[in-house]
Amino acid sequence: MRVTQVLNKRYPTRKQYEHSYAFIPFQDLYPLSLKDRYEAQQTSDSARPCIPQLTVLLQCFKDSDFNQKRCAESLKAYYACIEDHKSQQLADTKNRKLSDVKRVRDLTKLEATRLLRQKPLHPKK
Amino acid sequence: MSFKFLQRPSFLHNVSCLGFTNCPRVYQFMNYGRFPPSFVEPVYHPDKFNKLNSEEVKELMHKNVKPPTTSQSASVFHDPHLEKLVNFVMKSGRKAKAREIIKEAFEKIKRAQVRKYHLANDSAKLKIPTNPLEIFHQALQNCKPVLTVTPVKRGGVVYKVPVALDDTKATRMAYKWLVETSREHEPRRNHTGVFFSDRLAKELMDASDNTGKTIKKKVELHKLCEANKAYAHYRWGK
Repeated sequence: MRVTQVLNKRYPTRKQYEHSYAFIPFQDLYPLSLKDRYEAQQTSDSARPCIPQLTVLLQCFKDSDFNQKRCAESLKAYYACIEDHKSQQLADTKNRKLSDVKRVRDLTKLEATRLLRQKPLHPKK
Repeated sequence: MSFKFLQRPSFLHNVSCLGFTNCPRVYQFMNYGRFPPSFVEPVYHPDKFNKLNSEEVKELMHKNVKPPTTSQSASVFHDPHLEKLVNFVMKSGRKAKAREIIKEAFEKIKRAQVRKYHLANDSAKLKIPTNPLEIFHQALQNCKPVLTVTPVKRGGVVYKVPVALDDTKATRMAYKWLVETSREHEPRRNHTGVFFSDRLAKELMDASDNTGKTIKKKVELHKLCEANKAYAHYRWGK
């Protein structure tokens, strides 16, 4: 009889944990419903900005044996482009009206909460 | 129950109990934010305060301001970068010891640089910096990486995508690397006679000269970015 197979058998860790927990009865301390607030992380499908500047910078790095001083110009150009992109994004979100946003996923965190406050999911009676 | 046990904070109580059985696996976390978000960070140093506009000062006058922490002082010798280094060198909350070690390292830098200064020619003397703080700042500037990689999952494969870095993130990486490299061969059993302060001093002097292990680490990261430039346009996984 092979004893090693039995002895070395690994049980799933969840089963091991279950024994350690004391039985806790379920209590609904908070109401089980969605809040009138949006906190999820923003995800956008747009492409990563400043790819041409990045490729120029990486090529410069390769040619100059990763000497940062020689690639000062391309480095400056890349970071200037990224700052431009950030400020442009900010300006876009600040100046637009909520009626102009076509897709829900394009809403920022603040805009979504503002909308939810105007039209709450659970209006007070 | 000993007095030492009583002094331990409550949230650490369960960490000591590591077995699977007979152990309540509930961690309590403390909330350290004592001030509401309406409070602003203090401008504690006169150098910074003098640079503020009259409008900024007016704004600050009508706002609630947090008190400065113990490490933020208005002294002439205060250096926020140095305070940050102290925090990175510190082990298990012994800040005074960390300060002592850094002071020691700076003294060693001073001795080495003054020795170099006196041995050099008259023309080369001007180029040798003898202020250890100056060397530290230069080292920190040289160690900052320009690009990093972030993991992006696409079709079950995790790609490393080169991206730009914030200044705060880059400085944090520089501090981490400087301390990490000088901690690499810490003596475990037999002391070799080379202390941490020796290695930190050497690392700072090397980094200010754009050589050494820390700079090598930075260049390796840049090389990794260069190798993965084909995936630069990847944004989010599906």
